[in-house]
Amino acid sequence: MTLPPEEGRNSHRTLPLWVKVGSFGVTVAFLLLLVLVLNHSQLKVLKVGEPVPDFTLVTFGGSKVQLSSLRGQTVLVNLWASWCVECQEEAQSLETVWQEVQAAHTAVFLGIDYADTEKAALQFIQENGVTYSNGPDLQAKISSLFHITGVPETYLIDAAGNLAAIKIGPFSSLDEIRAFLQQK
Amino acid sequence: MNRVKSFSRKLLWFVLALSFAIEAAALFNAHADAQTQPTPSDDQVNAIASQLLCPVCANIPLDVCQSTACNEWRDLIREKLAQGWTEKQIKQYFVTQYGERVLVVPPPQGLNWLIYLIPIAIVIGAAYFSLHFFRRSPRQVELDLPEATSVDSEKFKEKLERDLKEEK
Repeated sequence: MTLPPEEGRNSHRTLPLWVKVGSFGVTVAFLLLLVLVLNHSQLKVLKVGEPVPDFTLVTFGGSKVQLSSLRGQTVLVNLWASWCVECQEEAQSLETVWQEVQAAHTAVFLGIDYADTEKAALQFIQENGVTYSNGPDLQAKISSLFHITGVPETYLIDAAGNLAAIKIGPFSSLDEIRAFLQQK
Repeated sequence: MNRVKSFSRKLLWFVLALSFAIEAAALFNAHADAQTQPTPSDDQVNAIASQLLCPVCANIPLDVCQSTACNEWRDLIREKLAQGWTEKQIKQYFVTQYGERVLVVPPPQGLNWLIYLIPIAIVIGAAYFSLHFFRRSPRQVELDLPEATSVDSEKFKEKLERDLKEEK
């Protein structure tokens, strides 16, 4: 027994050409945009030896410290927060080493207060006797440059403005900080 | 008669003095209550905190976060509210200090528009495809089927009758 032919039954399911081309174009444009955004944003991790992008720290005292103005000196950048327990002990150790290097003018220390309130930050600075320049990480711009994973984290920038060393987590001793500074 | 007058006067003074005392006590209590009650309330603080994200945890709103950083931020909101800041001003302050990433709902500007436009585009696309593939009216189905010509029908009828005869 022969049944009527089914030819042409699915012909209606074909999409118009403009829909196919349009969908492809939109997808490609979206992927390109995504690549551009990711490339431009925080996912570009800074590596040792690479130049550190310039940034300006506005200290709690109101003065401005621009990284590029410190060329010729080794810069230690420490990211901390008052709510970070490990940062407290580290701040005291950093201050001790800062007192040693300050007189010799061999390095500059910058403290970047991450995601903190000013009141708590100032109390932290006072309680730990910190005297080197400290300021808030406004809009998380500085922490984004270094693509931090948490606090504390410390970065050493050499005299030429390149990243010389990275320390994730707190320093365990004064000697470790001194050795860190020697990696310039 | 004089005695009655004197008594009435004394009673009047007594009632007046008593009402003043009651009024003063009520005012004092109200003032004391105002001082002991937290100003602003937790609900007021959380109404704003729920629109902000914890600075250290991943995607946890500030109102439900129990970390020290969150507590400090909530205290800051309370402080700003007590100073008479509006919700908008407080949110703007947090954005200025910590960036737009602290907002639970990012403002529709710049690349943020993608967050709002992509779901709409997906819904429109999905609706179009659904309509195109699944919503086929009986009339369309009928049109899609190849028309059975009278010749085909005749041939089919003849074959059917022949087959039936053969089976008998």
